[in-house]
Amino acid sequence: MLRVESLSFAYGDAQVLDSVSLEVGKGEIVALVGANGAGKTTLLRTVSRLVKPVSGKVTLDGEDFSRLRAHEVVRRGLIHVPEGRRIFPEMTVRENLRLGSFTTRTDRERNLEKAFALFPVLLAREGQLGGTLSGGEQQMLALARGLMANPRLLLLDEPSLGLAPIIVKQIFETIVAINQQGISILLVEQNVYQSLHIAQRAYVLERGRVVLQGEGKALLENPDVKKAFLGA
Amino acid sequence: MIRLLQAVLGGLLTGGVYALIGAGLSLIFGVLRVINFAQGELVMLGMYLTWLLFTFLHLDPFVSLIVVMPVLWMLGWALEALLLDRMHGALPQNQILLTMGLGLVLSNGAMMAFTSDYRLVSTTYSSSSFMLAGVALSQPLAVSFVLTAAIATALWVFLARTDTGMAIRATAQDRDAAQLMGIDVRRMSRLAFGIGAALAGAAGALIAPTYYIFPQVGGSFTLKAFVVVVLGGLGSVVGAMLGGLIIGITESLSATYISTELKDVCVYSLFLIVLIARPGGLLGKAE
Amino acid sequence: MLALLLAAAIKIGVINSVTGPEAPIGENMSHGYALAVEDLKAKGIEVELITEDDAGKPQTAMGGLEKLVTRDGVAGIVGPYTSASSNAAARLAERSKIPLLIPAASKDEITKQKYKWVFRTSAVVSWYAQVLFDAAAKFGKPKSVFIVHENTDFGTSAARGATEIAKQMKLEVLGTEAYSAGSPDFRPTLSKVKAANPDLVLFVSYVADAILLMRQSRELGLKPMAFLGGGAGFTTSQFASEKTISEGVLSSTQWTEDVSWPGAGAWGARYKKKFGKTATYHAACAYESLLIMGEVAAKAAGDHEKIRAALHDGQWNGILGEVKFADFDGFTNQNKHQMLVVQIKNGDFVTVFPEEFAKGKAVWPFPGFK
Ligand SMILES: Nc1ncnc2c1ncn2[C@@H]1O[C@H](COP(=O)(O)OP(=O)(O)O)[C@@H](O)[C@H]1O
Ligand SMILES: [Mg+2]
Repeated sequence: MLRVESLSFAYGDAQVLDSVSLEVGKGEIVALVGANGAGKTTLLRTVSRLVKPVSGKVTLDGEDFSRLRAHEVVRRGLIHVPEGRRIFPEMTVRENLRLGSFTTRTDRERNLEKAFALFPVLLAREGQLGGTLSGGEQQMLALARGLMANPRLLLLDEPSLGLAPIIVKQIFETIVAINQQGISILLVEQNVYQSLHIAQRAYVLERGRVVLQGEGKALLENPDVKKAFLGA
Repeated sequence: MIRLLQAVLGGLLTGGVYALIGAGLSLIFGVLRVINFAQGELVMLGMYLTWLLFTFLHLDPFVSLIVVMPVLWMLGWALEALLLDRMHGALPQNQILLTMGLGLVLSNGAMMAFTSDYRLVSTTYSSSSFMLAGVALSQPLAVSFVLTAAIATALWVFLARTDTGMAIRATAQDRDAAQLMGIDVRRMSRLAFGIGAALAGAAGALIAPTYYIFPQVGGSFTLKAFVVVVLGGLGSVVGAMLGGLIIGITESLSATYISTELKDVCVYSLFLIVLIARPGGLLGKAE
Repeated sequence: MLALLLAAAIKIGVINSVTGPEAPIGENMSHGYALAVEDLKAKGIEVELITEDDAGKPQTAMGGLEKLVTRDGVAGIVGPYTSASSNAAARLAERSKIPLLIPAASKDEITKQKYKWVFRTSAVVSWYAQVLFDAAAKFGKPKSVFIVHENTDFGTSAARGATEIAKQMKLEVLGTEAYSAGSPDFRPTLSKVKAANPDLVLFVSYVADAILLMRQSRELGLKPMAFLGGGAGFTTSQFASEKTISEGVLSSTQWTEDVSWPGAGAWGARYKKKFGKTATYHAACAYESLLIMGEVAAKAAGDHEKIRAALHDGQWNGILGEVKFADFDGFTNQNKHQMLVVQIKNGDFVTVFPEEFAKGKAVWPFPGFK
């Protein structure tokens, strides 16, 4: 459903993305892995139109994004859960979730119930300010907030970053559960092992270029990947 | 005791107007990250509009709020769309120059349109008062305070309870994240500037019956609003409201118990003390 | 040769605030100058007026004076308007040995520097209170006064003068409060006044603040024997037209249309007809000053020293009453201009003091706000 074709981006003179192409099919989990500074976050920001590419093309179900602004992409079912969670710190959990459904007001109550069912801890904290939650709770809130917008495709940027192993496990389980509801996922992770495990397909990004691609499990066996990411 | 009460109540009533102007400035800063140095000139436009409506249509200044606020709202919207929107992401000093320049254009425009003569809105109640347990309460100030409270409450309900209001707050807290919620942040900037301008206009209409109007009247309001907003915490609307009332009361108390001439010194001393103790302002976060 | 000299127009310089914040008053003065040129012409004196705009700024005024002297070679100069400009121009005129007649600036110091070439037509600011206290002492028996003034040059020197005069007249000064212009809230200051309960309340302020002070006095229910306005804001028609608050207020002024000085009434009417506005004392002072300078300069055929001597020794009587530039009390070449007291009655100014110029009887004491 998502096609990224020869996408390039630069900060001034610094080329960050160099003709990146990738695809996410309907119902897929696709992982995008790569070292720190490879350009993963920039790629997601370009896809969700927070920044504009220098060249290249992004389409969702055939619709060209090049004239859209970031908030318009949301209405098309592409939801970007950004790096660092970016919840609204001075708003309560419930208000954060309500903002998540800014474009889907009619489904608000139903989605809220679903979100609380998926993350019961958020119900317990619903009146608390976002900024006062623990890291794991903030990540759950960010995911739940993304789900409020009826996503068809979720872009997740390092959802496990900085979390305790037990929470990380929980987050990955949740991602699989979300995917099982029919939501496609483009997952950016440093946690390469777990990501490749749950992903059907994966891309490896290095200094703004796609250097490897293939099935998730197959890449786990790839010697280069093992050397670079799995400490083998 | 009566003098103290007189000073506190009087200060509270004048502070209400500062609160409105400050709230508008703070809202604009929160969403656009631009200090609108033309805020006082928007107050000035509100005053002239009130004066025009009063002089030519005999519309009561308090009633004229229903015209002044929407007109200023539209003006604010248009100014944001035509000028500030283009400056988004520009250097802060350029944005400051832009709003300062806007202020100059507005005050000089007013001078050409209305000359530099002082204009008065002299209503039948401009110098009337209620006696309340020995305290003389200015009638127009009391009415304006009630209206200020109503406008402030409406603003609060809007920002806290409605989707659009929450979207404005979200834009102020995290512009990128707001876009990822499907919020059109440029529209929110327009809306915020419009509301800020409407609040300034409302303040202008509310003080018109007890003050006087001339093209340069805005400068002192901009300065005061800036103090109010920094005191309350940049970007915090509730902080600005609180700051406005505190400044009003401080002015009044220091003029009563110290000296009229030193009241500005007292206000700025308090301002500095608060900033040293709480660098982010009363309700702001320290950076 | 003599005939030629007589026929040529005599050049007189004018420095005025044509632009800048004082422009509205500058405009009144320009009107006064225009009428003086007409009247000089009627007397057979052709005057070529060369006007320099100082925008109210001392530096610009000095530059203007320089130009008038060196470029234009004028016989004498009338102006500038503001005290600050006049003070600067006076120093330069003294150095350049050019006769300078200052029409309406009010700061005392200007004519207290032993200048030989600088003359002033109008009364100085410290006399503003004198005439008011004299009037009050005549109408009643006030024992105390509270002074509220703007913290500008004008306001502060008026208040200082008032305090000294009050002491001499055994009026107790219960308090003095300075304020900065543009404050919307005088209530705390006025509640102090109310608590002190003085017989007289003296306000020195410009028009906008004058109106606010009186409005808020009404709010707080102040009721002294009299409200006294130290000139400036209290003598404007805008203030007078605010009838609920202006009624009964006494104010000092340099000139009124109804005063019995020769030709004042007719001149005022002519001014109004020509310019569509009521004449102000600024206009009257400007008119009279240029009239004097024109006559003297014509007679002296432009000779600076002769003009200076003629100004020093001369005596005139016109719409400003008697004018004579005298040396007294540390002043030099200062006209001892008689100040007047007016009272506002139903939106109009009525001269009530001194008796010989009065057109009506004063209402005393202040009956309270309606
Ligand atoms: N705002 C910015 N300005 C300049 N360079 C940036 C900016 N943001 C990121 N970069 C640079 O772009 C490159 C890619 O960054 P990023 O997309 O965040 O990588 P990743 O998410 O893979 O760690 C890095 O070299 C980073 O330093
Ligand atoms: Mg990243």
